Amino acid sequence: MRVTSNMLSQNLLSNLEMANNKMDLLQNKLASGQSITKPSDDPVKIETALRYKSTISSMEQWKINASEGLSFMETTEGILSDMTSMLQRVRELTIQGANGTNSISDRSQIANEVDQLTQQFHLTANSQIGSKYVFSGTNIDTEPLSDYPDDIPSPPPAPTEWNGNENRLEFEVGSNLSLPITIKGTDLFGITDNGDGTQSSAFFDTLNKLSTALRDGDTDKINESLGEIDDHIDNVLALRAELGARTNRMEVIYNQTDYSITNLQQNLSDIQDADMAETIMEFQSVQNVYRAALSVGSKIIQPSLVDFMS
Amino acid sequence: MYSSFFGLEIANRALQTQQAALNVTSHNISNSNTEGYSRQIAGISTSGSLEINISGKQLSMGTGATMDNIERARDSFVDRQYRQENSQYEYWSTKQDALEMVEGLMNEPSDYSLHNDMDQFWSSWSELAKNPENVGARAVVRERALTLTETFHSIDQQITDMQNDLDSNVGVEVDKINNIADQIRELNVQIKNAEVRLDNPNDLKDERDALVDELSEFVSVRVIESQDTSFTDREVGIYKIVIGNDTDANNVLVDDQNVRHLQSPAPEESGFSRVVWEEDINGNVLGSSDSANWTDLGSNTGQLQANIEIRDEYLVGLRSQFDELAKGIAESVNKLHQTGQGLTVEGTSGIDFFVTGTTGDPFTAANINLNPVISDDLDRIASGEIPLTGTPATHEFDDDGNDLLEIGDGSVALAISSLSEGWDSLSGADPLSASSFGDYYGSVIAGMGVDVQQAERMAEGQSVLVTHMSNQKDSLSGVSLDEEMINLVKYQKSYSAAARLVTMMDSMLDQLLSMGVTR
Repeated sequence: MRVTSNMLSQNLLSNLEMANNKMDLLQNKLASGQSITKPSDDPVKIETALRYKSTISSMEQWKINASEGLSFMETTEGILSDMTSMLQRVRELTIQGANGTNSISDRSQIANEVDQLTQQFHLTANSQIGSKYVFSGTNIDTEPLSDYPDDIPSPPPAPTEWNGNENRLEFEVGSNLSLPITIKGTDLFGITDNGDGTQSSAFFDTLNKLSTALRDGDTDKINESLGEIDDHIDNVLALRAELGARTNRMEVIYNQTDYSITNLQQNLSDIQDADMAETIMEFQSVQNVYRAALSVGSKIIQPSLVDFMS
Repeated sequence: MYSSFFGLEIANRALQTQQAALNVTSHNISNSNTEGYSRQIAGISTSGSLEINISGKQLSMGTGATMDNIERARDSFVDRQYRQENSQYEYWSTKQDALEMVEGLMNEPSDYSLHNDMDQFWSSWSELAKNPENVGARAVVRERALTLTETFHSIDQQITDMQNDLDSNVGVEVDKINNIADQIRELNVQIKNAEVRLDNPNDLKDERDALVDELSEFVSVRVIESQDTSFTDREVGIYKIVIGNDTDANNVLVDDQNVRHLQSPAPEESGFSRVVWEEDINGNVLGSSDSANWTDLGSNTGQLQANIEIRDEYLVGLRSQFDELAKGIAESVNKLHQTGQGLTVEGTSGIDFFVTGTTGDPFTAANINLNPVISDDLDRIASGEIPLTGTPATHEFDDDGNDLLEIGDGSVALAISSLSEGWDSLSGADPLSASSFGDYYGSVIAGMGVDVQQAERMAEGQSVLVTHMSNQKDSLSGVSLDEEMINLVKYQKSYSAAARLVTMMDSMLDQLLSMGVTR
């Protein structure tokens, strides 16, 4: 084949361009740290990467949800724990009041303390976490119990209206998985619907009955209340146990989600991150080729017969 | 017998011939870097012999050399192959450029892409499901929805812009083809005139070949050369060019001294320029509205066809995929959104979340919009179910006799959020033929990646072939300075020798003339 100097320079140029292209590609990988910077780099990997990214995005949200749910449940648990100790105190007072040796003033002192606790229970029923009323079901913007009037009569009257409902708040913590994060206020305070637009609360009824009985010195009624208070304590403990079990489950879900995110991110990184060592090696070798092409090029392009003619 | 001065005549011819050959060499050297130039070869041959009678024998005696012709080193077969590969190379590389632009427009994988906007949109619903009473969470849903619709709009707009760009390319290329055709016709006329005069117009032919090479960038081109039979005593060629599909009788661009034009400016049909001949081969004017009249450009050749294909097929297909996605998202979200209410009481059914500009239009990437009612009033973003009882369904009432509003209910928002995972929360037919919106989008992107890859590989392969053919061409037609230098020395030596011949003849004649002189 006849070879002309134009062919030599054309070939040299196209080879240099090819080396330049490769260097540009590798440079891009090195600078961005990613082995796939556009879909055509690897269409299959890009599809997988997109799927991982979606899953990670959902999981991040689930993780936030679970974490918020946990703190909500832990706060609820705190409220219930306070309630338990308050109920224990009511129980002590009841036993004290049942003692026949109490004078009238002693009993009215005890009744006063029970009334104070009743007011506190009333406030507890209206507890808020953030902007949410904890015990009003999905009517989260409504106080379950209407406030006491400014001068509370003795004993404080049992509420006749419960503004909450029986639904529970649910947080999404997984694919098609929602966990309730509240306990039913209606269960906690023994709410029953009277069917005439009013509701009554077994819990507050007991306290009301106890207060009256203490003032009247009615030992039978006091003993009857004692039994009811024990039932209420059991009820709160049962609800705490249920909430605790759910809290545990939520914790497990939180940790699992967290672990899955780490794993997925690892996978994503395997797919889209550049292997630096390998890329740098490749770059070095392309660079060598480029240098060689340049140095050979400078030698073959230059001389021709012209240079040797006088 | 012949003249005693005949030797001088031979020397004279030698001087003239070698000088002409030196000029040919100089021409080659001067044009060693001219695009499309083919090296020329001095055709030196012996001039006719002289019959002389010596000793009763007839002898043919040489009369020296003469310059017969000047040829160009060119192989029309290599030209043809080069043009074929070049057309295909231009097709794929134009396609590659366009597809890479589309790829860049998707901005994938990055945090600023439709995929990311979709993920964020679904997450915002999950956040709302958790805190339906929170106006902040509602505002986030609105903003994410706006971002999503804007991204859809921008993709659609960019596809339109690209189509328009490609369309104007088509117009420009049609003009270029017409222009080249005119130039070739002009050259055909000049070359023919020269050939009739027994001239061999190498440089004009080079120019014509260069034009055809340029033409092969835009369309596939086939050159048909034949002899003009009206000249019997000399070689006069007919040069015919067929573009596009060469089996279509209509596709003759230049035939000897006649030229045919494509309609310019290219006529528009359904918004885009079409390539149509001014008239068919029988002289009938062609209308542009009938797609049967559009010029058959063959398959996978030339920039023109690549531009048309991307404009009419690829981008149209791509847009319909995004329309499909926008429609799927809008209809699915609406379906769920209609079953719910937010912080204000809806009737027995809720409102749409996404709307088109005009009621009744199907959703597309261009017209998907957030319902303006929602952008004005965040309370109307549905989060919970509408509590209904009885048949016909009526709104349930609370204890005070008002329409029931369960603000903490996030079930509808939850159902919308879980659309990110699949179709579980939807009843009825699946909106798309994929397992989720993300998957559908992923397959669109992967499909695009495959297309770009194919175009890249084809363009790369063709470029190797073009380089190869161009080397072949160069190997035959290119000027080698070494070779020219050798020729230079060769002809120069011959010239010097011929000059010596004159000196020698001179002294020989001197000798002859001084014979009769007495000293």
